[in-house]
Amino acid sequence: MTGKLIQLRPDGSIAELGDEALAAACATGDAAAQSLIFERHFGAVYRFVARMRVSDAAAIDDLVQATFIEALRSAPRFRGPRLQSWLFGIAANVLRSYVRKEIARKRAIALVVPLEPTTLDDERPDVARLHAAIAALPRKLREVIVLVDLEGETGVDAAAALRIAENTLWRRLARARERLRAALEVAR
Amino acid sequence: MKCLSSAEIARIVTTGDVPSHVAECVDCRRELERQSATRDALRALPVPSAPSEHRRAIKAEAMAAANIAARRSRKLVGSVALVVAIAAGLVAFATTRFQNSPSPISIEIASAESIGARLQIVAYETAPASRKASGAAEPGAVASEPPGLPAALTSFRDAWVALRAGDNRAAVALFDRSTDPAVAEEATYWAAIAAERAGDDADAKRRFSNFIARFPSSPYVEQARRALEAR
Repeated sequence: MTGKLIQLRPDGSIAELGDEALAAACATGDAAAQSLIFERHFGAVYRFVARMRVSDAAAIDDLVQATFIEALRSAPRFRGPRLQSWLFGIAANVLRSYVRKEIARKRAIALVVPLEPTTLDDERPDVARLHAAIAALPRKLREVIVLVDLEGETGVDAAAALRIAENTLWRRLARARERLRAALEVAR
Repeated sequence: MKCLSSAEIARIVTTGDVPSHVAECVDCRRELERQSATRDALRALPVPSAPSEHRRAIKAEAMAAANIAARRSRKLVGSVALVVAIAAGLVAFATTRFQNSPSPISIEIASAESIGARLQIVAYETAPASRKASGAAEPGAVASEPPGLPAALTSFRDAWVALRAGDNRAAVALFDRSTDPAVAEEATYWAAIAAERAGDDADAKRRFSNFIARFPSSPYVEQARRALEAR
């Protein structure tokens, strides 16, 4: 399953491959390249999805998995510049699709049972407040706050991942920070 | 100088490139401090991480599913190429006949029917086995999830569910049933892990050795060797 990679770089080990070469190897169906993409970027994708505060914590694993399935399938279409930003873009799309389905499902459930907001028991009050404020942000603002302020993506990369103009990104980021600040002040 | 917009200040907070105007302007400085404080509060949040067991399961399932999708896509490309080749042949044949025939209209109709019939045959040939058996192949319908091909993945996923639930013996049996080449490598490795967790040392040893022999270039080989050395 890994022979193709050895042909690409006879003198190097797989761990030396850069993201673009890795995506190219992955596009040939190379299992070792797929594995390395996962190992390199799983943590970041998991953090991004977890930080987007989907209401069902159990869905995080499924969403991360769906992101990697889509990424491995789409590897031939990767054109750089950064694999991680590209993965964030895919994760954001997966989340959008999930949220649409969740809204429909919750509307259906709400007809029968009133919904309670989800909280984590072991969170400190200030952390819980900030998490609740992030969760209350509209999705477009939440995406930029998570990508830029929490994941440390540059403006260029985050804008590319979300397929928006950089100026739009900065406007959304300013609005998101303002809403979070206001939410935290109200809570004090 | 005109005051900066909040969007410009958002960029400055992120990049750290602070223009001299901000130092001189009370309003801009206040906005910069506010945004910086919010950003710092966010960065102080705990960092979420996945339990390692989840990580392994997500990886195995994602790789298996992606490989099955890739194989399906290759099959589809092959089928489309076949249809195009046949259609091109028929068009060439019809063109030749058209040049020699006194009745071009009837030849065109016959060709269209031939192409249509051939397309239906090809569609039937590429349909999953279960649809062929039931005779349920609908002309023109696009199969969203062919029921025949993902059977190996279903078995593989069931194995993971069993492994996560601690039902290790059931997991071994289900991984053994995941014989599709797309999942064989993962299934063979994780069957050995499940056997190890079930406490069946002899079986685990045999399975790890078998895995190394079958998949010598697998990323799991080192882990399999370590597992063998540990016993």
